[in-house]
Amino acid sequence: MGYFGLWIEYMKKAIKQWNEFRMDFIFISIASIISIGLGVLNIEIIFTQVDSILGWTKYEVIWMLGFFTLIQCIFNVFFVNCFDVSSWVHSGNLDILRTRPRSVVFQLLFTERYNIEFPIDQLIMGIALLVWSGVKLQLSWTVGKCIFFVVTILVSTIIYTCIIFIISAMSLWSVKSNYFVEFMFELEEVNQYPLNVYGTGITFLLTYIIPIGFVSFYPCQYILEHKEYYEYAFLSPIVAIVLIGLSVLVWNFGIKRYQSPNS
Amino acid sequence: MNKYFMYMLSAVKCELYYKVNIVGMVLTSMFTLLIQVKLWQAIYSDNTTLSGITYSGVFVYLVVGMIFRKFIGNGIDDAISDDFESGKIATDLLRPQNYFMKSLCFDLGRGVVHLVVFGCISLIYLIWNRELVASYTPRLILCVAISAMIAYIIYVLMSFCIGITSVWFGRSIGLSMIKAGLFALLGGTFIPVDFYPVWLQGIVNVLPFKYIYYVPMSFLIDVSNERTFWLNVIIQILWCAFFAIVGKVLYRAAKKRMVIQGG
Repeated sequence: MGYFGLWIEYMKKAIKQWNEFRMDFIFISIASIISIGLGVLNIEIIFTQVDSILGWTKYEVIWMLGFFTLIQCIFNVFFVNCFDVSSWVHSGNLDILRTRPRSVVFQLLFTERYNIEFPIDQLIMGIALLVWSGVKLQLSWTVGKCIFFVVTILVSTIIYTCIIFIISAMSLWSVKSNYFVEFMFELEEVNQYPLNVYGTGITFLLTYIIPIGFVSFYPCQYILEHKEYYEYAFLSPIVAIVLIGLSVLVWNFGIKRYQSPNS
Repeated sequence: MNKYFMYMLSAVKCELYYKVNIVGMVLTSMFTLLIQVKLWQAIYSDNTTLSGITYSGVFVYLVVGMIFRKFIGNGIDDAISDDFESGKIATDLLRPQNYFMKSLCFDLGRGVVHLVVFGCISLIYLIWNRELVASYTPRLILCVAISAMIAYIIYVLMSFCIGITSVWFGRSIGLSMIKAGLFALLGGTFIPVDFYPVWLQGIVNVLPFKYIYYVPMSFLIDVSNERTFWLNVIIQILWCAFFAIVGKVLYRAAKKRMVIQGG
Protein backbone atom coordinates (compact mmCIF):
# COMPACT_ATOMS: atom_id res chain seq x y z
CA MET A 1 0.00 0.00 0.00
CA GLY A 2 1.33 3.41 -0.93
CA TYR A 3 1.64 6.33 1.41
CA PHE A 4 -1.56 7.90 0.17
CA GLY A 5 -3.53 4.69 0.70
CA LEU A 6 -2.17 4.46 4.23
CA TRP A 7 -3.15 8.04 4.87
CA ILE A 8 -6.74 7.26 3.84
CA GLU A 9 -6.77 4.23 6.15
CA TYR A 10 -5.46 6.30 9.06
CA MET A 11 -8.16 8.85 8.36
CA LYS A 12 -10.85 6.15 8.48
CA LYS A 13 -9.50 4.94 11.80
CA ALA A 14 -9.62 8.49 13.14
CA ILE A 15 -13.26 8.85 12.13
CA LYS A 16 -14.11 5.59 13.89
CA GLN A 17 -12.35 6.89 16.97
CA TRP A 18 -14.38 10.06 16.74
CA ASN A 19 -17.52 7.99 16.73
CA GLU A 20 -16.41 6.03 19.78
CA PHE A 21 -15.78 9.07 21.99
CA ARG A 22 -18.50 11.28 20.52
CA MET A 23 -19.39 13.09 23.72
CA ASP A 24 -15.75 13.83 24.44
CA PHE A 25 -15.23 15.33 21.01
CA ILE A 26 -18.21 17.63 21.46
CA PHE A 27 -16.60 18.84 24.68
CA ILE A 28 -13.30 19.37 22.86
CA SER A 29 -15.08 21.53 20.28
CA ILE A 30 -16.67 23.62 23.00
CA ALA A 31 -13.26 24.00 24.63
CA SER A 32 -11.72 25.13 21.37
CA ILE A 33 -14.42 27.78 20.89
CA ILE A 34 -13.82 28.94 24.47
CA SER A 35 -10.10 29.27 23.86
CA ILE A 36 -10.55 31.37 20.71
CA GLY A 37 -13.21 33.42 22.49
CA LEU A 38 -10.73 33.92 25.30
CA GLY A 39 -8.24 35.49 22.90
CA VAL A 40 -10.85 37.89 21.54
CA LEU A 41 -12.20 38.73 24.98
CA ASN A 42 -8.72 39.48 26.31
CA ILE A 43 -8.16 41.89 23.44
CA GLU A 44 -11.59 43.46 24.04
CA ILE A 45 -10.90 43.95 27.75
CA ILE A 46 -7.45 45.42 27.18
CA PHE A 47 -8.74 47.84 24.56
CA THR A 48 -11.56 49.08 26.79
CA GLN A 49 -8.77 50.29 29.09
CA VAL A 50 -6.46 51.78 26.44
CA ASP A 51 -7.00 53.00 22.88
CA SER A 52 -3.87 51.49 21.40
CA ILE A 53 -0.85 49.46 22.49
CA LEU A 54 2.31 50.99 21.05
CA GLY A 55 0.35 52.18 18.04
CA TRP A 56 -1.56 48.95 17.33
CA THR A 57 -5.30 49.38 17.23
CA LYS A 58 -7.86 46.83 18.38
CA TYR A 59 -8.95 45.64 14.95
CA GLU A 60 -5.39 45.20 13.71
CA VAL A 61 -4.69 42.93 16.65
CA ILE A 62 -7.92 41.02 16.01
CA TRP A 63 -7.05 40.64 12.33
CA MET A 64 -3.73 39.05 13.24
CA LEU A 65 -5.49 36.77 15.70
CA GLY A 66 -7.92 35.70 12.98
CA PHE A 67 -5.09 34.96 10.58
CA PHE A 68 -3.25 32.92 13.18
CA THR A 69 -6.44 30.99 13.96
CA LEU A 70 -6.64 29.97 10.30
CA ILE A 71 -3.03 28.74 10.39
CA GLN A 72 -3.77 26.77 13.53
CA CYS A 73 -6.80 25.29 11.85
CA ILE A 74 -4.77 23.90 8.95
CA PHE A 75 -2.05 22.76 11.32
CA ASN A 76 -4.61 20.94 13.45
CA VAL A 77 -6.04 19.06 10.49
CA PHE A 78 -2.79 17.76 9.06
CA PHE A 79 0.09 18.08 11.49
CA VAL A 80 -1.29 18.13 15.02
CA ASN A 81 0.58 14.94 15.89
CA CYS A 82 3.79 16.97 15.97
CA PHE A 83 2.85 17.71 19.56
CA ASP A 84 3.00 14.04 20.48
CA VAL A 85 6.61 13.15 19.70
CA SER A 86 7.45 13.47 23.37
CA SER A 87 4.65 11.16 24.47
CA TRP A 88 5.64 8.58 21.83
CA VAL A 89 9.19 8.66 23.14
CA HIS A 90 8.18 8.64 26.79
CA SER A 91 5.88 5.65 26.44
CA GLY A 92 8.37 3.73 24.30
CA ASN A 93 5.85 3.47 21.48
CA LEU A 94 8.30 5.03 19.05
CA ASP A 95 9.90 1.59 18.79
CA ILE A 96 6.71 0.17 17.30
CA LEU A 97 6.82 2.77 14.55
CA ARG A 98 10.48 2.10 13.90
CA THR A 99 9.90 -1.60 13.29
CA ARG A 100 7.29 -0.93 10.61
CA PRO A 101 8.42 -0.77 6.97
CA ARG A 102 7.39 2.84 6.42
CA SER A 103 8.97 6.18 7.19
CA VAL A 104 8.88 6.89 10.92
CA VAL A 105 8.13 10.58 10.42
CA PHE A 106 5.21 9.78 8.15
CA GLN A 107 3.71 7.43 10.71
CA LEU A 108 4.38 9.86 13.51
CA LEU A 109 2.57 12.66 11.73
CA PHE A 110 -0.44 10.74 10.51
CA THR A 111 -1.11 7.79 12.80
CA GLU A 112 -2.74 9.03 15.91
CA ARG A 113 -5.24 11.88 15.89
CA TYR A 114 -6.85 14.04 13.28
CA ASN A 115 -8.83 16.55 15.24
CA ILE A 116 -11.67 16.44 12.79
CA GLU A 117 -13.66 18.35 15.36
CA PHE A 118 -11.17 21.20 15.78
CA PRO A 119 -10.93 22.73 12.33
CA ILE A 120 -14.61 23.42 11.73
CA ASP A 121 -14.97 25.83 14.60
CA GLN A 122 -11.47 27.24 14.12
CA LEU A 123 -12.17 27.78 10.45
CA ILE A 124 -15.46 29.56 11.13
CA MET A 125 -14.03 31.63 13.97
CA GLY A 126 -10.89 32.52 12.01
CA ILE A 127 -12.78 33.67 8.94
CA ALA A 128 -15.33 35.52 11.08
CA LEU A 129 -12.57 37.41 12.86
CA LEU A 130 -10.86 38.28 9.58
CA VAL A 131 -14.08 39.54 7.97
CA TRP A 132 -15.25 41.45 11.04
CA SER A 133 -11.97 43.26 11.66
CA GLY A 134 -11.29 43.60 7.92
CA VAL A 135 -14.54 45.51 7.45
CA LYS A 136 -13.79 47.74 10.44
CA LEU A 137 -10.27 48.42 9.16
CA GLN A 138 -11.58 49.07 5.61
CA LEU A 139 -8.78 47.01 4.08
CA SER A 140 -8.27 47.48 0.37
CA TRP A 141 -7.85 44.18 -1.45
CA THR A 142 -5.75 44.15 -4.64
CA VAL A 143 -4.97 41.08 -6.76
CA GLY A 144 -1.41 41.10 -5.40
CA LYS A 145 -2.68 41.00 -1.84
CA CYS A 146 -5.05 38.12 -2.58
CA ILE A 147 -2.25 36.03 -4.10
CA PHE A 148 0.01 36.97 -1.20
CA PHE A 149 -2.69 35.91 1.27
CA VAL A 150 -3.12 32.45 -0.25
CA VAL A 151 0.62 31.79 -0.60
CA THR A 152 1.29 33.08 2.90
CA ILE A 153 -1.25 30.76 4.48
CA LEU A 154 0.63 27.84 2.95
CA VAL A 155 4.09 29.13 3.86
CA SER A 156 3.05 30.08 7.39
CA THR A 157 1.61 26.63 8.00
CA ILE A 158 4.93 25.10 6.94
CA ILE A 159 6.88 27.44 9.24
CA TYR A 160 4.56 26.77 12.17
CA THR A 161 4.71 23.01 11.65
CA CYS A 162 8.50 23.01 11.38
CA ILE A 163 8.97 25.04 14.55
CA ILE A 164 6.70 22.76 16.54
CA PHE A 165 8.27 19.67 15.01
CA ILE A 166 11.81 20.78 15.87
CA ILE A 167 10.93 21.66 19.46
CA SER A 168 9.04 18.39 19.79
CA ALA A 169 11.94 16.40 18.35
CA MET A 170 14.10 17.74 21.17
CA SER A 171 12.42 15.09 23.31
CA LEU A 172 14.60 12.52 21.55
CA TRP A 173 17.37 13.88 23.78
CA SER A 174 15.49 14.27 27.05
CA VAL A 175 13.04 11.42 27.49
CA LYS A 176 10.36 13.15 29.54
CA SER A 177 9.74 16.61 28.20
CA ASN A 178 6.17 17.69 28.72
CA TYR A 179 7.45 21.22 29.21
CA PHE A 180 8.33 21.42 25.56
CA VAL A 181 4.63 21.00 24.90
CA GLU A 182 3.82 23.72 27.40
CA PHE A 183 6.40 25.94 25.75
CA MET A 184 4.73 25.40 22.40
CA PHE A 185 1.35 26.36 23.82
CA GLU A 186 3.05 29.45 25.14
CA LEU A 187 4.29 30.29 21.65
CA GLU A 188 0.66 30.12 20.50
CA GLU A 189 -0.27 32.68 23.13
CA VAL A 190 2.63 34.91 22.17
CA ASN A 191 1.44 35.04 18.59
CA GLN A 192 -1.88 36.56 19.60
CA TYR A 193 -0.37 40.02 20.04
CA PRO A 194 1.92 42.11 17.81
CA LEU A 195 5.49 40.97 18.41
CA ASN A 196 7.05 44.33 19.14
CA VAL A 197 4.93 44.93 22.28
CA TYR A 198 7.18 42.39 24.00
CA GLY A 199 10.25 44.59 23.70
CA THR A 200 13.34 44.35 21.52
CA GLY A 201 14.89 41.31 23.23
CA ILE A 202 11.89 39.06 22.73
CA THR A 203 11.20 40.42 19.26
CA PHE A 204 14.77 39.45 18.31
CA LEU A 205 14.33 36.00 19.86
CA LEU A 206 11.05 35.36 18.06
CA THR A 207 12.36 36.64 14.73
CA TYR A 208 15.78 35.04 14.46
CA ILE A 209 15.99 32.18 16.96
CA ILE A 210 12.46 30.79 17.15
CA PRO A 211 11.01 32.47 14.07
CA ILE A 212 7.39 32.29 15.19
CA GLY A 213 6.99 35.92 14.11
CA PHE A 214 7.01 34.76 10.50
CA VAL A 215 3.91 32.66 11.09
CA SER A 216 1.47 35.51 11.36
CA PHE A 217 2.94 38.79 12.57
CA TYR A 218 5.26 39.70 9.68
CA PRO A 219 3.11 38.41 6.80
CA CYS A 220 0.08 40.26 8.16
CA GLN A 221 1.94 43.55 7.94
CA TYR A 222 1.86 43.40 4.15
CA ILE A 223 -1.91 43.12 4.16
CA LEU A 224 -2.29 45.70 6.94
CA GLU A 225 0.10 47.97 5.02
CA HIS A 226 2.71 48.67 7.65
CA LYS A 227 5.59 49.45 5.34
CA GLU A 228 8.36 49.13 7.92
CA TYR A 229 7.91 45.35 7.99
CA TYR A 230 7.68 44.66 4.25
CA GLU A 231 11.15 43.06 3.97
CA TYR A 232 10.28 40.58 6.68
CA ALA A 233 6.92 39.79 5.07
CA PHE A 234 8.63 38.66 1.88
CA LEU A 235 11.32 36.76 3.72
CA SER A 236 8.99 34.07 4.99
CA PRO A 237 9.39 31.59 2.08
CA ILE A 238 13.16 31.57 2.69
CA VAL A 239 12.56 31.02 6.40
CA ALA A 240 10.28 28.12 5.50
CA ILE A 241 12.94 26.46 3.34
CA VAL A 242 15.63 26.88 6.02
CA LEU A 243 13.30 25.43 8.64
CA ILE A 244 12.45 22.39 6.52
CA GLY A 245 16.17 21.67 6.14
CA LEU A 246 16.71 22.15 9.84
CA SER A 247 13.85 19.80 10.75
CA VAL A 248 15.36 17.04 8.64
CA LEU A 249 18.78 17.57 10.24
CA VAL A 250 17.45 17.62 13.80
CA TRP A 251 15.31 14.54 13.27
CA ASN A 252 18.07 12.49 11.62
CA PHE A 253 20.57 13.46 14.27
CA GLY A 254 18.11 12.85 17.11
CA ILE A 255 16.92 9.46 15.93
CA LYS A 256 20.54 8.27 15.74
CA ARG A 257 21.16 9.32 19.31
CA TYR A 258 17.81 8.07 20.57
CA GLN A 259 17.81 5.35 23.19
CA SER A 260 14.57 3.55 23.81
CA PRO A 261 13.25 3.73 27.39
CA ASN A 262 11.69 0.31 26.81
CA SER A 263 13.54 -2.91 27.43
CA MET B 1 -1.45 9.77 57.73
CA ASN B 2 1.97 8.29 57.28
CA LYS B 3 1.03 6.35 54.13
CA TYR B 4 -0.25 9.48 52.43
CA PHE B 5 2.98 11.24 53.31
CA MET B 6 4.85 8.43 51.59
CA TYR B 7 2.77 8.97 48.46
CA MET B 8 3.78 12.59 48.53
CA LEU B 9 7.41 11.67 48.99
CA SER B 10 7.34 9.28 46.06
CA ALA B 11 5.79 11.98 43.87
CA VAL B 12 8.62 14.30 44.89
CA LYS B 13 11.14 11.64 43.89
CA CYS B 14 9.40 11.05 40.55
CA GLU B 15 9.50 14.74 39.85
CA LEU B 16 13.15 15.19 40.81
CA TYR B 17 14.25 12.22 38.68
CA TYR B 18 13.69 14.11 35.41
CA LYS B 19 16.00 17.02 36.06
CA VAL B 20 16.00 18.34 32.51
CA ASN B 21 12.23 18.52 32.81
CA ILE B 22 12.47 20.74 35.88
CA VAL B 23 14.87 23.05 34.09
CA GLY B 24 12.42 23.11 31.18
CA MET B 25 9.57 23.93 33.56
CA VAL B 26 11.48 26.85 35.06
CA LEU B 27 12.55 28.22 31.68
CA THR B 28 9.08 27.91 30.17
CA SER B 29 7.44 29.58 33.15
CA MET B 30 10.04 32.34 33.13
CA PHE B 31 9.38 32.91 29.46
CA THR B 32 5.61 33.00 30.03
CA LEU B 33 6.03 35.43 32.86
CA LEU B 34 8.36 37.64 30.87
CA ILE B 35 5.90 37.76 27.98
CA GLN B 36 3.00 38.71 30.24
CA VAL B 37 5.02 41.35 32.08
CA LYS B 38 6.23 42.89 28.82
CA LEU B 39 2.71 42.98 27.42
CA TRP B 40 1.38 44.71 30.53
CA GLN B 41 4.30 47.13 30.40
CA ALA B 42 3.25 48.06 26.88
CA ILE B 43 -0.37 48.46 28.00
CA TYR B 44 0.70 50.70 30.86
CA SER B 45 3.16 52.67 28.70
CA ASP B 46 0.81 55.65 28.37
CA ASN B 47 -1.00 55.45 31.72
CA THR B 48 0.03 55.15 35.35
CA THR B 49 -3.23 53.64 36.59
CA LEU B 50 -6.00 51.79 34.80
CA SER B 51 -9.33 51.30 36.63
CA GLY B 52 -7.53 52.37 39.80
CA ILE B 53 -4.89 49.62 39.57
CA THR B 54 -1.21 50.52 39.35
CA TYR B 55 1.37 48.73 37.25
CA SER B 56 3.23 47.43 40.28
CA GLY B 57 0.01 45.83 41.54
CA VAL B 58 -0.41 44.00 38.24
CA PHE B 59 3.28 43.05 38.23
CA VAL B 60 3.15 41.37 41.64
CA TYR B 61 -0.17 39.76 40.65
CA LEU B 62 1.52 38.21 37.61
CA VAL B 63 4.67 37.02 39.40
CA VAL B 64 2.98 35.53 42.46
CA GLY B 65 0.19 34.27 40.23
CA MET B 66 2.73 32.33 38.19
CA ILE B 67 4.22 30.76 41.32
CA PHE B 68 0.71 29.81 42.40
CA ARG B 69 -0.08 28.37 38.99
CA LYS B 70 3.04 26.20 39.16
CA PHE B 71 1.83 24.96 42.53
CA ILE B 72 -1.70 24.02 41.45
CA GLY B 73 -0.52 22.56 38.14
CA ASN B 74 -3.00 21.16 35.66
CA GLY B 75 -5.19 19.29 38.12
CA ILE B 76 -5.50 15.57 38.70
CA ASP B 77 -8.13 14.86 36.04
CA ASP B 78 -5.66 13.20 33.66
CA ALA B 79 -4.34 10.87 36.33
CA ILE B 80 -7.83 9.94 37.54
CA SER B 81 -9.26 9.29 34.09
CA ASP B 82 -6.17 7.24 33.23
CA ASP B 83 -6.71 5.13 36.35
CA PHE B 84 -10.31 4.44 35.38
CA GLU B 85 -9.67 3.86 31.67
CA SER B 86 -6.71 1.54 32.08
CA GLY B 87 -8.15 -0.33 35.05
CA LYS B 88 -5.27 0.63 37.33
CA ILE B 89 -7.95 1.72 39.77
CA ALA B 90 -8.43 -1.98 40.67
CA THR B 91 -5.21 -2.07 42.69
CA ASP B 92 -6.04 1.25 44.33
CA LEU B 93 -9.41 -0.05 45.44
CA LEU B 94 -7.80 -3.10 47.03
CA ARG B 95 -5.48 -1.03 49.19
CA PRO B 96 -6.63 0.28 52.59
CA GLN B 97 -6.68 3.91 51.56
CA ASN B 98 -8.88 6.76 50.52
CA TYR B 99 -8.54 7.04 46.76
CA PHE B 100 -9.06 10.80 46.75
CA MET B 101 -6.49 11.37 49.49
CA LYS B 102 -3.98 9.29 47.58
CA SER B 103 -4.49 11.32 44.40
CA LEU B 104 -4.36 14.57 46.33
CA CYS B 105 -1.08 13.71 48.06
CA PHE B 106 0.49 12.48 44.87
CA ASP B 107 -0.33 15.78 43.21
CA LEU B 108 0.77 17.72 46.27
CA GLY B 109 4.26 16.20 45.93
CA ARG B 110 4.53 17.58 42.42
CA GLY B 111 3.13 20.91 43.55
CA VAL B 112 5.62 21.26 46.39
CA VAL B 113 8.58 20.62 44.09
CA HIS B 114 7.36 23.19 41.57
CA LEU B 115 6.51 25.70 44.28
CA VAL B 116 9.93 25.44 45.90
CA VAL B 117 11.96 25.47 42.70
CA PHE B 118 10.07 28.18 40.86
CA GLY B 119 9.09 30.10 43.99
CA CYS B 120 12.69 30.50 45.16
CA ILE B 121 13.81 31.86 41.81
CA SER B 122 10.91 34.30 41.58
CA LEU B 123 11.24 35.40 45.19
CA ILE B 124 14.83 36.46 44.58
CA TYR B 125 13.52 38.68 41.83
CA LEU B 126 10.76 40.13 44.02
CA ILE B 127 13.15 40.81 46.90
CA TRP B 128 15.51 42.47 44.48
CA ASN B 129 12.68 44.86 43.50
CA ARG B 130 11.90 45.47 47.16
CA GLU B 131 9.92 48.68 46.67
CA LEU B 132 7.17 46.71 44.89
CA VAL B 133 6.45 44.47 47.85
CA ALA B 134 7.10 47.03 50.59
CA SER B 135 3.40 47.61 51.31
CA TYR B 136 2.67 43.94 52.06
CA THR B 137 2.36 43.06 55.73
CA PRO B 138 3.00 39.53 57.06
CA ARG B 139 -0.71 39.41 57.90
CA LEU B 140 -1.60 39.97 54.26
CA ILE B 141 0.84 37.32 53.11
CA LEU B 142 -0.76 34.90 55.57
CA CYS B 143 -4.17 35.77 54.06
CA VAL B 144 -2.83 34.97 50.58
CA ALA B 145 -1.35 31.67 51.77
CA ILE B 146 -4.53 30.50 53.52
CA SER B 147 -6.76 31.48 50.63
CA ALA B 148 -4.36 29.84 48.16
CA MET B 149 -4.38 26.54 50.08
CA ILE B 150 -8.19 26.40 50.05
CA ALA B 151 -8.16 27.37 46.38
CA TYR B 152 -5.84 24.44 45.65
CA ILE B 153 -8.23 22.05 47.36
CA ILE B 154 -11.18 23.39 45.33
CA TYR B 155 -9.13 22.89 42.16
CA VAL B 156 -8.15 19.34 43.02
CA LEU B 157 -11.72 18.41 43.98
CA MET B 158 -13.02 19.90 40.76
CA SER B 159 -10.53 18.05 38.60
CA PHE B 160 -11.28 14.86 40.55
CA CYS B 161 -14.94 15.17 39.53
CA ILE B 162 -13.94 15.78 35.90
CA GLY B 163 -11.56 12.82 35.85
CA ILE B 164 -14.28 10.46 37.08
CA THR B 165 -16.62 11.41 34.24
CA SER B 166 -14.37 9.39 31.91
CA VAL B 167 -16.30 6.35 33.15
CA TRP B 168 -19.37 7.63 31.29
CA PHE B 169 -17.80 9.43 28.34
CA GLY B 170 -14.89 7.07 27.65
CA ARG B 171 -12.41 9.88 28.03
CA SER B 172 -12.27 13.17 29.85
CA ILE B 173 -9.92 15.19 27.64
CA GLY B 174 -12.75 17.39 26.38
CA LEU B 175 -14.04 18.31 29.82
CA SER B 176 -10.47 18.95 31.03
CA MET B 177 -9.95 21.31 28.13
CA ILE B 178 -13.20 23.12 28.93
CA LYS B 179 -12.03 23.38 32.53
CA ALA B 180 -8.68 24.84 31.45
CA GLY B 181 -10.38 27.26 29.06
CA LEU B 182 -12.92 28.47 31.59
CA PHE B 183 -10.20 28.74 34.19
CA ALA B 184 -8.21 31.05 31.92
CA LEU B 185 -11.34 32.95 30.88
CA LEU B 186 -13.11 33.35 34.20
CA GLY B 187 -10.34 32.85 36.74
CA GLY B 188 -8.42 35.98 35.85
CA THR B 189 -5.17 34.17 35.06
CA PHE B 190 -4.02 36.77 32.58
CA ILE B 191 -6.17 39.83 33.17
CA PRO B 192 -7.20 40.65 36.75
CA VAL B 193 -10.98 40.38 37.19
CA ASP B 194 -11.16 44.09 38.16
CA PHE B 195 -10.69 44.99 34.50
CA TYR B 196 -13.58 42.82 33.30
CA PRO B 197 -16.76 44.51 32.09
CA VAL B 198 -19.62 44.49 34.59
CA TRP B 199 -21.71 41.83 32.83
CA LEU B 200 -18.74 39.44 32.82
CA GLN B 201 -17.98 40.12 36.45
CA GLY B 202 -21.57 39.07 37.20
CA ILE B 203 -20.91 35.69 35.56
CA VAL B 204 -17.51 35.33 37.19
CA ASN B 205 -18.92 35.87 40.66
CA VAL B 206 -21.30 32.91 40.54
CA LEU B 207 -18.75 30.42 39.16
CA PRO B 208 -15.97 28.72 41.13
CA PHE B 209 -13.05 29.69 38.86
CA LYS B 210 -12.58 33.12 40.37
CA TYR B 211 -12.24 31.58 43.81
CA ILE B 212 -9.45 29.30 42.60
CA TYR B 213 -7.18 31.91 41.11
CA TYR B 214 -8.26 35.52 41.37
CA VAL B 215 -9.38 35.60 45.00
CA PRO B 216 -6.08 34.48 46.60
CA MET B 217 -4.14 36.80 44.32
CA SER B 218 -6.50 39.78 44.66
CA PHE B 219 -5.02 40.70 48.04
CA LEU B 220 -1.77 41.47 46.23
CA ILE B 221 -3.29 43.79 43.64
CA ASP B 222 -4.88 46.07 46.15
CA VAL B 223 -3.99 45.88 49.83
CA SER B 224 -7.45 47.12 50.81
CA ASN B 225 -8.96 43.89 49.49
CA GLU B 226 -7.91 42.35 52.80
CA ARG B 227 -11.20 43.33 54.42
CA THR B 228 -13.08 40.97 52.12
CA PHE B 229 -10.87 38.09 53.28
CA TRP B 230 -13.34 36.31 55.60
CA LEU B 231 -16.25 36.59 53.20
CA ASN B 232 -14.14 35.14 50.40
CA VAL B 233 -12.82 32.31 52.55
CA ILE B 234 -16.37 31.33 53.51
CA ILE B 235 -17.41 31.22 49.85
CA GLN B 236 -14.30 29.19 49.06
CA ILE B 237 -15.15 26.68 51.77
CA LEU B 238 -18.70 26.42 50.41
CA TRP B 239 -17.29 25.62 46.95
CA CYS B 240 -15.03 22.99 48.55
CA ALA B 241 -18.05 21.41 50.19
CA PHE B 242 -19.99 21.51 46.92
CA PHE B 243 -17.29 19.73 44.93
CA ALA B 244 -16.62 17.27 47.76
CA ILE B 245 -20.28 16.21 47.69
CA VAL B 246 -20.41 16.02 43.88
CA GLY B 247 -17.16 14.05 43.88
CA LYS B 248 -18.45 11.59 46.44
CA VAL B 249 -21.68 10.98 44.52
CA LEU B 250 -19.84 10.58 41.21
CA TYR B 251 -17.23 8.28 42.73
CA ARG B 252 -19.90 5.98 44.19
CA ALA B 253 -21.76 5.87 40.90
CA ALA B 254 -18.54 5.29 38.96
CA LYS B 255 -17.53 2.36 41.14
CA LYS B 256 -20.86 0.70 40.35
CA ARG B 257 -20.65 1.39 36.65
CA MET B 258 -17.03 0.74 35.75
CA VAL B 259 -15.81 -2.44 34.15
CA ILE B 260 -12.26 -3.67 34.63
CA GLN B 261 -11.01 -6.09 32.04
CA GLY B 262 -8.28 -8.57 32.85
CA GLY B 263 -7.09 -9.74 36.22
